Amino acid sequence: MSLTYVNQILPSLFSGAWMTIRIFFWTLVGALPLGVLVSMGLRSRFSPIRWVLNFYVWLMRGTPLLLQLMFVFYGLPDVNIVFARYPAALFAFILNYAAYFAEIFRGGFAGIDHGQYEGAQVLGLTYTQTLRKIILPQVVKSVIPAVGNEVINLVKDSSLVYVIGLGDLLRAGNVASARDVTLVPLILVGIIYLLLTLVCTYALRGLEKHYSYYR
Amino acid sequence: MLELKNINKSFAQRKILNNFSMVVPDQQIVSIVGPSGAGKTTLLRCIAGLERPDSGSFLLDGQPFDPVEDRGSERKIGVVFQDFNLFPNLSVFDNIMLAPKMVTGQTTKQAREQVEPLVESLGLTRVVKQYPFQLSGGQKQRVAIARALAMEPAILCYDEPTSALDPTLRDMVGQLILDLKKRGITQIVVTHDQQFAEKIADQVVTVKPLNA
Repeated sequence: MSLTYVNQILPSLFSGAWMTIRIFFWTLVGALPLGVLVSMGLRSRFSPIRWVLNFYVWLMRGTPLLLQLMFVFYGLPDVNIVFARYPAALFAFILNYAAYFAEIFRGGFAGIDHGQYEGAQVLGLTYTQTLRKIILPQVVKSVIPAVGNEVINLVKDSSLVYVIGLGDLLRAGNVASARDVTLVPLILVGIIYLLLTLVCTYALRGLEKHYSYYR
Repeated sequence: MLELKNINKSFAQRKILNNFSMVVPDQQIVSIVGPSGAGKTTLLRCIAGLERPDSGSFLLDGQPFDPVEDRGSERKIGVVFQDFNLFPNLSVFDNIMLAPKMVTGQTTKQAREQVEPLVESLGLTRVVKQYPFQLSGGQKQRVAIARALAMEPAILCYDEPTSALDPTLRDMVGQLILDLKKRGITQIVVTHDQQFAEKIADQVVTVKPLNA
């Protein structure tokens, strides 16, 4: 593993890693709020909403993300919905991850004692105020470990975008490895993934610590 | 003065309250006693607007009053729950300040001016920065009382205020309720403890389980 060779391929690996990071970041930005909304819909009193959302969650968790990516990019154009590669990837990732997040948040909401709602109600708080100031902060605290698992998964799942021709970290390594007939690029890829998940792990731990001021 | 007239409430097939009537005069303490399952808590939940009675009416100072619609800054009924229902994510001070700020729309400064004397009179000054999990049962209860009083309710209701307390604290909360009465606060105390009820109340209302 000569340093010259490593220096030669690092730029292409970094540019692949940048794609990985972009998909990771925008998926979280889209899927977390969408997951919260879906989880509230799953608890709706209006049964058609629950039915539709349960179907959505079933669909997203019941089929491979790889298949969903292919479907969005290659299948949707048949019904005149055409995405470019990158938006197609984000679209599929956000819908997929929002379903997992929704189930996690649903559990978080279910874990809040009903007395919290009543305590707020007798003080005259509206439902929205209650959610914002009392319920959501407690839900967020309780779901951090489970959401953290998905976040770590997302770092690695992002490698699936190769299937629609996007150049992410793993693909950059694959290309170099096939071209130069060496495993060195793949070892570097592994190290970069480890560093990315390490950053996530520390960020999640920091978040848990931030919320540890109460029980 | 709060009047309840012919309140009825059933859950599924089981009748809990049957034509229940009572009067709560201003600045008095009315205690509602009875064994568990007699409908005391259901009655309190109806008064607090947490359950809607099947039939019957409420009058507050002679005016028709619907507890379920008793909302926002004009809310008349305050409640101290059996397990207090403090908000664990907020400090003691924020637990008490939340409603005056969000519901009444007071500024932090205005709310603080109103809340601080209350905090002091309930002996909570030393714990305002703490979180509910750091408090003893008695302290939690006083925070719950302060939180309810900060909204200046016409009537303050307690659900089993002695159940989470040891005997010494039981006497202390009894004294506290009497002190609040001296300050002109009308109170309804639901308890299974007949002795406690007789010690503090101007009027003891006994409820019995139906079809038992």
